[in-house]
Amino acid sequence: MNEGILSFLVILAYLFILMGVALYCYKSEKIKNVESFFLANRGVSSVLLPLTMIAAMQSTFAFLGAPGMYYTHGIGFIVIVLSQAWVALMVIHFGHRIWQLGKKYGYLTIGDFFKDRYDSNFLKVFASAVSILMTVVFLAMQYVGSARAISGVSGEQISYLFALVVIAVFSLIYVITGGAKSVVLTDAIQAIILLSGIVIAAYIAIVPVGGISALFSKIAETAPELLSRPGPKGLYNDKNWVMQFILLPFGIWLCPHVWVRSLMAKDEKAISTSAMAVPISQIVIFATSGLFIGLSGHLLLQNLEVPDNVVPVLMNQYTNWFVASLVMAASIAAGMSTINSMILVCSQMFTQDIIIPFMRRKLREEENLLISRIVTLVIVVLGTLIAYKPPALLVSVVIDVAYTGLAQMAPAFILGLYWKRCNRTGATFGMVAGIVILFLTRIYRINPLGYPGFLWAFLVNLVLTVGLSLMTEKPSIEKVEKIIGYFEGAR
Amino acid sequence: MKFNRTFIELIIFVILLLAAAIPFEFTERPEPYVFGWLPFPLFYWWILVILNLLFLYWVSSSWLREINEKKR
Repeated sequence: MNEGILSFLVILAYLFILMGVALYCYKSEKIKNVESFFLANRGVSSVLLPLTMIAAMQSTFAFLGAPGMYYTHGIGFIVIVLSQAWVALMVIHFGHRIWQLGKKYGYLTIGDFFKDRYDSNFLKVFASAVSILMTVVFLAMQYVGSARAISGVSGEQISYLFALVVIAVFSLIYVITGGAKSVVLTDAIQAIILLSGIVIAAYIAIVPVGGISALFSKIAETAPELLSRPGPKGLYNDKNWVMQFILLPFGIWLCPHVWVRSLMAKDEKAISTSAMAVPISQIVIFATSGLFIGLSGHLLLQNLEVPDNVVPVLMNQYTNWFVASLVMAASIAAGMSTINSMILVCSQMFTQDIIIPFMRRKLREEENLLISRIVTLVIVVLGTLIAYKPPALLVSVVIDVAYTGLAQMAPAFILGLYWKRCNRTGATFGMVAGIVILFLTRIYRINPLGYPGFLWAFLVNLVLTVGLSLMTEKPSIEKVEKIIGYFEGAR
Repeated sequence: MKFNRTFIELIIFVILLLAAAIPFEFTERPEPYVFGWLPFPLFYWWILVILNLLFLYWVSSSWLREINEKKR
């Protein structure tokens, strides 16, 4: 049997082991309600929550995209670590508040908060619809990355379509059987594998260069422009550098599959450790390993056509097939864990915010669970279809605006948690205007006064949310007291 | 006590954020090489990354301690 097929079998074995974990979860504790299916009964411990947080946040981008960015643009890409570290503060401050509200009022989604705080079904549906659109396209891109990785590691002996179907089927089984409990447990395993995998990949990349100091010395001789800002292509110029710090952290934290981890926490200790998982994983993956791989790749692999292939090509050339397939299994682990979390949260938002509230009668838990599982299947099929033949315009637009689009929920969400005066009119007009401006400026590629559209969208959103809240009627005391009064009472 | 901690937290956060977000001129060239091989911008950013981590550890642990004290 040739090495390509053997490598595929190693990855398949890994997927089967994870399936065993998912089936164990399914058999060990029967899922009785949607809270158990989507949020693991709000009981994820301080050991598992940070691991599932890492697994959900770090996708195939960690293995493929990040080293590719260092390969092309040099050390300036470290800005991702410097700007995203602050997601940890959001987990502690905003995540804790939404966790408390979730426990008190049974919130399952961000839409539940908007409905309760602003007494608005429109905001609930709109926020969920935007989140679902962004997440489904990202889900499809994770499918693409994982299927390409499998096909690549098999030396193209496994077709892209077959690899895509394999990934889709396994992800469906992981989610549909054990729900959040299964996702959390498989995530924990996959987080450990992906962190170990990227460190091993970095070691394999550095050895032929002669070590870390030799790596930098050689780059200084051959391509010194990689060792400072703005990089060879000028990507990290002053303006772009500053922009990374303005909206990105909000967009990352408001990714539904990331912030929903706060609702899963068992206690404050779990929230605290999950917050620390953010900077620690960023350091291991982006600030060190990814950087060493990208720069080593620049020395060892001249003129790579697709920089994102730096890891698979390095592994194929500088280690044996078995180690290479283990490293690529880690890359697939990064993709699979994000895929599972995205499927679950999309199903959660679609059923709980868009379908269930508009049913004519109140559903029994078993009916709600059945619908949730059917929607999970639909999400997987939809993601797979998009991944098979990605609609170019939809994908490019959504990928470009995803994080900045999710950040448009920040004013209504954060002001709603802290500011009593913030009302439905301000939140609704702010959020809708922000999303519309964001899409229009991206589609027509307009940068008013030289500043990117997302910045204008956020600014207009914030001004409208604050301005209209002050100019229109105060929100009902009852609603405000229910949310903000609850925290004041808890002090 | 809580006010003091929140205030100090805010000040340190703003300092660290500005230290990272301001595109200083010295990050536009790799020289000088620290230890003879490490480009100075990376040396600076790595130091910042470690300071961010220590700061976040301090914030999360003191936040947790405060919550536990309240519960008691």
